[in-house]
Formats: sequence, structure tokens, C-alpha cells
Amino acid sequence: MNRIANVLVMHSRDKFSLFALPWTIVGSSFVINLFIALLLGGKTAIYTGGLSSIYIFTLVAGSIIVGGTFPFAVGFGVRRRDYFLGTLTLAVAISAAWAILLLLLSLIEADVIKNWGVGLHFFHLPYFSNGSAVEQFWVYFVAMLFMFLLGLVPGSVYQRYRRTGMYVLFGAVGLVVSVFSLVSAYWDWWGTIFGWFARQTAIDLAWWTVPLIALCALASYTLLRRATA
Amino acid sequence: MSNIVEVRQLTKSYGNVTAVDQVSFSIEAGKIYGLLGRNGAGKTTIMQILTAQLFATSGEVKVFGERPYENSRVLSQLCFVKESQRYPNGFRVNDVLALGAVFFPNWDHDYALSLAEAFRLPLKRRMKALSRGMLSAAGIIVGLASRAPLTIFDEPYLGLDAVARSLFYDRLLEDYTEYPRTIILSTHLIDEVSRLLEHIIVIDQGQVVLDEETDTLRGRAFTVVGAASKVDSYIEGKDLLSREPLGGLVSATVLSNGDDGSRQEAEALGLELAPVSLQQLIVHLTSETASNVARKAAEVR
Repeated sequence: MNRIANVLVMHSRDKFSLFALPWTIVGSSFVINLFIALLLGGKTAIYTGGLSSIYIFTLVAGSIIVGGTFPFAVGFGVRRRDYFLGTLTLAVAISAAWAILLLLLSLIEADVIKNWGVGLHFFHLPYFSNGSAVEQFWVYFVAMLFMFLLGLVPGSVYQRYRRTGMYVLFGAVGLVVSVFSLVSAYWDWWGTIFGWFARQTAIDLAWWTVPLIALCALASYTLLRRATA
Repeated sequence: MSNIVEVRQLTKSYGNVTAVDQVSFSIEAGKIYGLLGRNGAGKTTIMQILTAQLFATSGEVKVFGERPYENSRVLSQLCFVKESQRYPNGFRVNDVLALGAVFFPNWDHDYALSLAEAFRLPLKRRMKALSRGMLSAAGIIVGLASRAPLTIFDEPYLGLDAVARSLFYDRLLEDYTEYPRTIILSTHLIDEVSRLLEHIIVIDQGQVVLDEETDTLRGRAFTVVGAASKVDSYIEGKDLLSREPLGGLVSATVLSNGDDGSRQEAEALGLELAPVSLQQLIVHLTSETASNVARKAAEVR
């Protein structure tokens, strides 16, 4: 337990990229949109995808964290298992913290300062923010954690198999997507697929994402167990 | 005598290339070892396998009596300062030292800070912005301040100037005396460290070519100089490391088995005896032509 905490201490040395940078990005996106909304006089409702920046940031953070810290940790005598568990703990903690902040901002936008007084829909979005506070938290949390782990997988592939691994990974992903699209078009599956997604609420989708998160975690752990510094 | 490292038949190959080939040796507790050899001899690979950073193709490695892979009992007692150690982006010197305190149970932070001052290492400087020599100094500080029961330095002084190097040797000896532990120094600057080393293991082309106490080793080889005929008759049947003609004279370096017999014999023949420095000895032992020289000398005769 202590060794896992040590890995967390290591990650948290880089406070700027971990904590300050994502909110600087979201914050500037928000300010720009707020400014635009002000210019428009607050009469038209503005919907923006600016919130996605924090999810994309988390995806990128997940994908570069292994390359940045794994060689250092292993060089300083950290077990691969402890490194993975510490990094996973970091992902869970950050996702939970960001989900709470996003929930607060969403609640403010919905109820306290209605659309920031200028008709801006930034944190409280239709579909994504439907449901109770607990349900919203769950959606934000799962989406954030999934992004981090989705990034962690290619990062771990690179650490384990280096460049060859990346070629094989992206080659395989490309192949699977192409074959699936062709097959879906040929057998007319697209309608069924979109229909299924249309019936799911954001909370339903969040639950479906949980096994995917577990799969990513398992893949990353298996890869890192045999990765070299 | 307790061995804290046992390496048996260790092999590491990359495709067709065998970097480490059937290497076996052991390390006793409480000594300073030199792991010597040319660049690419396989030293770093061996040390990376010892510290579970790399995986062996075959063979067995035990450190403190256990397999090091994913073993925190072993890993927490190790400190491996490698020349190619990478640091996270944005890390400063003081981040690295702070984490030394987190990861190494015996870490002495005051000592680390005093070493940073002695090496003139700016604590606020980013690791990425350090010169090669400063990066080496940072590694040395981590290695010394970790006070790990087994501390391994891999080419620790690349880019360090003579002053910093001698500072390293002095501090190492000082701290080793005060806090006895096992140290492995891997280097090709043999003469500079030879006074520190108590035991020497020489690796060449992935194999152990020498594994001996430094004192025994020093006594084992010497150079004789004299008239060609006398030298040639003297070296007949001896373990010859090199033979070089110098005008009418011949200088030959031979391995003796540590007894004084061969020295006395040389003196009786009126040959001049000269000591061989460790560096020369190891160069002889690891230069690819060494064995060829012996063969040629035999053919000439």
C-alpha cells in the first residue's frame, strides 16, 4: 500500500501538467465562449463542445504518462505492479476530482447562474448532463476514467514493444474498423447500431463503458509487467 | 562470506546477437567490485538484468538470495545508477532528490544536499537542461545518498571533469567506510578507479574473462624486458598476454599463477621486471588480438 502511495507521490511532483494545465485549457475555452456569448448579447443560446477539451487532455495525459514516468520509476526500484496500481489510483483520483468539479459547474450553470446569464451552455449539456447529481457525477467520472485508460493502452504498448508495437496496434485497429464498417454496410447493421445507441441514456452508456475500462486496465497491466525501462 | 548476488549461466540475446553469453559470477557482501570491459561488452545488460529492468533469455539471477523481478524486498535494497537513466519531463534536480527519499529506505537527505553543493548541482535546474556532467553528478548523488545495501554505478562519470571525478572517488570511499555496503562500479576508466576496487570482473563480448581479487590480479601479471632469445626461452610454456619486439629487445607480458617462482626465474635470467597496471592487464585480456599474439609468438618459435 505504501509503495503504491509512493508512486502517487512521484506523479504528483508534476503538478502543473497534471492539475493546472487541463483547467487552464478548459478555463480559456470557457472564457472565449463566454466572450462570444456576451458579444451576441445573450439572446441566442450557445451550445459548445468546449468541455470535450478536458476529456481529450485526459486521453493525451494517459497516453504520455507511461513514457514519462515508467523508466524513471523502474530505475528507482519501483515494482511494475506498484507502478501500475499507483498510476491507476492516480487516474481514479483525478477522474473523481474532475467529475466533482464538472458536476459543481454543471449545477451552477443549470440552477445558480442560469447559463452564466448569457445563454451559454458549456458545462450543462443536453443528454450528457441529464439525470440526478449522482448520475451526472457517474457519467463524468466514467467518461474521464475511460479516456485516461484508453490513452494508457497505447502508452503501455509503446513501453513494451516500442515502435513496432505502435505500428501493429494502429494497423490492427485500422483493420478492425475497416472490416467492421464494410461488414456493417454490407449486412445493413448501421441502422440497428445507431438505433441501439439512440435508445441508451448517458447513464446507460456509462455502465457499458465500465467493462471497457476494465479491459484497458488489464491490457495495460499485462503489457507493463513485461515492459523494460 | 555471504554472496548477495548469484548469477548462473545468464544469457541475453536479441535475435541473432548474443549480448550476454552464459555468464556466471557471484558478488560478496561488503566489497567494492569493478565490472570492467569495453563498450558493448554486455556490462549494462548484466546490471539491468540484476536489477530486473531487463529480462534474461535464460539463466538464473539471485540478489539477496531471491529473484529480483517484481520483488520489493530485493528492489528496495538496490540502487542502480545508470548512465542512460531517464527522468520525467519537467522534473528538476530537487524533484529527483525528493523522490530518492521516497523510494530508497536508507536515503540520507542532508547528505544528498551536501553532495549537491559539493558537485555544484543547481537544485532548481530542470533535469532536461543539465549538461552531461551535471546529469552524471545527479546520478552519483542519488547512488551515494541512497545508501542502498547494493549500489550499482554504471559509467557514473561520463562528462565529469577531473575534479568532480576525484570528488566522487573520495566521497565514495569516505561514505563506504562509514556505511559499509556492496558497490559495483562499471567503467572503462580502469586506472582511475583501480585503487577503489577490491574485486574485478572483466566482461568481454558477453563473457566473463576475468573474476579475481584486485590484489591477486596485480601480482599475477608482469612484464619482462630483455634480449629476444632470453625472453623467448623464458616465456616458453607460460601464459603469454603480449609480446612486443623493441629493437633487439623483446617486452613480454606474462600471467604467473601468483607464486614467486616465475619472477625469480626471470630475475635469474637477468630480465628486467616491470609491473603491469590493471588497465594494461585488462586491455591485454580483452583486446581481440591478445590470443592471436600468443598464437603468433608460438608460430615464430
